[in-house]
Amino acid sequence: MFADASRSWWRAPGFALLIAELRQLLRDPRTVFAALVLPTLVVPALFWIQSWSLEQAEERLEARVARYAVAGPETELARALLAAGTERLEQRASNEEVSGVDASMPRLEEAQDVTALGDALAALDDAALDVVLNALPAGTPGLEDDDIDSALEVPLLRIVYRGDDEASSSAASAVRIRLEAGRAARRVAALEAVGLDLPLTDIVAVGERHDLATVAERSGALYGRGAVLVVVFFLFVGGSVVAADTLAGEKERGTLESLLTSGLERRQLVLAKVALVTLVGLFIALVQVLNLWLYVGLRLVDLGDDFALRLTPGAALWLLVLLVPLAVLIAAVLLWISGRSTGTKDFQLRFFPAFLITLAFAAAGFLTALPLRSALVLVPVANVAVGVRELLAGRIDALALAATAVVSSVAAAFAVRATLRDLGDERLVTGAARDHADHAGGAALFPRHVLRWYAGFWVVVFLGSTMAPFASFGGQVALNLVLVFLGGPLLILRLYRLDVRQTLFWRPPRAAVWPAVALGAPAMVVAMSALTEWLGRLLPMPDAMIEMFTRSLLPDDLALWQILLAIAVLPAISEEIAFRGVLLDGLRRRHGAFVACVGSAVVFALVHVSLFRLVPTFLLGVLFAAITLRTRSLWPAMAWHLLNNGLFVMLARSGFEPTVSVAGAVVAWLVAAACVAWIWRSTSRRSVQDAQASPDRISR
Amino acid sequence: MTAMSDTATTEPAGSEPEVVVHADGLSKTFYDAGRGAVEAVRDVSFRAHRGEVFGLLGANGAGKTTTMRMLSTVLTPSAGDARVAGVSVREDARAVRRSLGFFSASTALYPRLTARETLELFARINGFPSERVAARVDALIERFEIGPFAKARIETLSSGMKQRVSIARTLAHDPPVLIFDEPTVGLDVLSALALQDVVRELRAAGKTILFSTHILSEAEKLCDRIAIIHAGEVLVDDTLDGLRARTGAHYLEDIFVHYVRDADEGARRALEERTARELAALEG
Repeated sequence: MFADASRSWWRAPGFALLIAELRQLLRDPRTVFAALVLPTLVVPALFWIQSWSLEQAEERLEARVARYAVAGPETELARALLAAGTERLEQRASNEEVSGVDASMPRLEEAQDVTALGDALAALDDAALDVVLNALPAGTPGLEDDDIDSALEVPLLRIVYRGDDEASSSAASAVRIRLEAGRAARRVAALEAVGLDLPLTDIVAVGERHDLATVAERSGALYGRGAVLVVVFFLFVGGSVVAADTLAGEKERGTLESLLTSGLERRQLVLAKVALVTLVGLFIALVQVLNLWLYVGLRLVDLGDDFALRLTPGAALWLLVLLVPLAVLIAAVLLWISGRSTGTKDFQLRFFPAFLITLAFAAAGFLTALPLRSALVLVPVANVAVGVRELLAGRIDALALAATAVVSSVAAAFAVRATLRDLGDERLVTGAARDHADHAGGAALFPRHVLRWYAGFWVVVFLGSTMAPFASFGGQVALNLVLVFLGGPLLILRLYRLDVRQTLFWRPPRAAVWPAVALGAPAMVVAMSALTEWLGRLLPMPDAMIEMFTRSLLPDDLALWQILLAIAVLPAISEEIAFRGVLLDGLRRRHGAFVACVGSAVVFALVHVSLFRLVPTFLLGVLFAAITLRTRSLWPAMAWHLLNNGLFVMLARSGFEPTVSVAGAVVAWLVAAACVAWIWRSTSRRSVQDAQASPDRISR
Repeated sequence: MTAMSDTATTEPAGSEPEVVVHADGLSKTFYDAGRGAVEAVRDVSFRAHRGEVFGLLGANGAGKTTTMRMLSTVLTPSAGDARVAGVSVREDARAVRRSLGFFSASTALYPRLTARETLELFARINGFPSERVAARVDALIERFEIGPFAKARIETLSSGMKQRVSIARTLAHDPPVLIFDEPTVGLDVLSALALQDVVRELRAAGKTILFSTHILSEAEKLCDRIAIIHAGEVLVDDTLDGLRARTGAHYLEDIFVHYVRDADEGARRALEERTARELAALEG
């Protein structure tokens, strides 16, 4: 965990700091109360209050006699039916020695004094009555809320009640159950009266429903929806108490300067603090799980027979694998906010938006239509929310869960890195709001802003794909390729007064590169289609979706040259300028060559919204970025992109669906790899070193 | 071995004292929305030797703290470099920080740790060998007479006690270089005198001490060499006797005023000359 490999980790300076921090935390009664004790007590208290109020409500219902009135022309019919139903239900209860009448059903008593409908409804409004049975004669025009649209040939018994009153609602259902029982009793009696004895074989007893899901699986599926929401809530609330105190608070107290001038490595400082907040968060989350187990498992709080929790060791392990990165992510975010804040007051202002946004993501568990095997797996927090729901319901999809854990860990690592970078920032000490780049503006500020621009581009592209004016093929091309990915980068070049040749790598490569591009591109098309096919088996996509995509890409009413222009030529120009030009250069200046390659490819893949193209697009993005940096020219990537998309269009137009054999795929990959290697060899090492030299990189 | 120095020090006789802190053209520019680029420190160079108290004397806002913060790697120089105990602040910030103790009026202690825990923590995070931490902390507790309250939490201590713990904290890892950045701000006379005693002891133990202050008498009594810093620039850097010889004035106050007034006069004259030149250019 810590850098000093020569010593044991518990002797590492960062660990000494962590111990000191824990010691201080436990010595502050207010922090212990707010971060540890309160969260421990709140959930059981909520459970207890809930079950207590349910009990109370039940008792009150049992003790209560609901009052009803019968009004309208068919009162006699209504009374007779009600009486028959009550008798039948009571009979069944005594015969079967089980409670035929639901225990939660109130007893009924007719209010004899009210007979006029108007009076009855007024009494219902005043809560003097619980339910009114309005007995209407045959020929009553149907009403919309009875789901009957034409006049009826039979009398209609309408049950009038108030849905906002629990007593009224339960009385209404009691009346309905009795009326239905009465109707059934009458039907049997009528059949017997005409001598129609049904042969036994014609009577079908529909057995009780048999649920294949166990009680544990059912309650897991139900309670799992909100589980991560609760965990995230406590991670944030408990963690924030510690996080606010540890960086923002230290700035106020002046202890941060003591730490920053000490020989502690910044990395160890941040890791110790992240570990502290994570420990507190995990402790709270663990306490909540124990609470649930203790209070529910030992029946200290009764949630009824419908509740059970069962966690296999495997599922528990997965739970840990998912929740630990989540705790680290939230801890790092809290620390980052704390590091950015000038004091605890400032921290509070910044904490709240982050809290709400994260809770919104954590509520994804309630979107039961969303499976984990979708783009959801890429959304931090939301993927854990859905993953935990699936786990608790007993559904273990190892691949999707592993992907979730990886995405969470990467997000957590990024958050830790951001905190680390901010702690290295001297503005932490000076309090100055600006630095050289802010002051100089232009090219100096561009690397810092480039990702924000592309986030904006992504939003425009995403919104554009849902808006009617851009829904057509031509509209998409005009918006994405011309307006956003050509216009946008040109705007950036102009606004930040960038050197166009340098930013766009606008110069010819060595001639030796071209044959490799000419051979590599077709090989890569074959290799990629093999990869897509293989991925399709791993992550099945509905055929309808792929077909829709292909159709949207290749409208029948366009000439080949138009399609080639839109799918091959324009993307090769505008997307290369956007992603391997402006974005790649901006990222490279700030983060170095490696992060620039991967980062630009991730953005490139994300703007090609559809999920099943994610992996191939990402790989092509990495390839194009690497080639551009290596050759220090955008042209080879443009040519490769043009060939790639052009060949794809030609293949799709010819209706030829390539099914690549394993041997063919291997050969294609080898040829493509050889071409890349050729490009590598034919360019000098010096050019790469130049590309890696990034003046704005932080080295502390 | 004492609390002031955990390692035996032998000075080779007759040789030139070793340069321990070497500031070379340090500059620092801050950027402010209202004021634009502000050069807090401009081209500051000096050398501080082993066993020497090097004073940085200047008015408030002269650039003392910015210089000290660049030396302690909390700020990165906009230009120039500095070597502390042979290590560049640009190349290995952590190694620089490990070889120095930083004390200023604004460096605070953790209120909920005890004095002993504080000293142990700072010895450890500065990479002091773990097996010697306990002995080192004992020695510091003895020297600064912390014993009676070593197990009490810092928050319960008086400000005088805190001051002693704070100095001991700075020395926890026995660094060869010590930076005292306006250490006596807000201290009463007796505490200030006690601190001066500590500085003298450290000098005797062979440490290199950078001592910034705006209090002339303090610099006069304590410092072997004095650099007068004004508006971000070092105007002069010499021993007290050297400064006297240069200016013909006896008291440091007069010497200080001599240089600062000269600098202001020079700046005024330079501005006038430039304006005149520009006017002439306009007219011509």
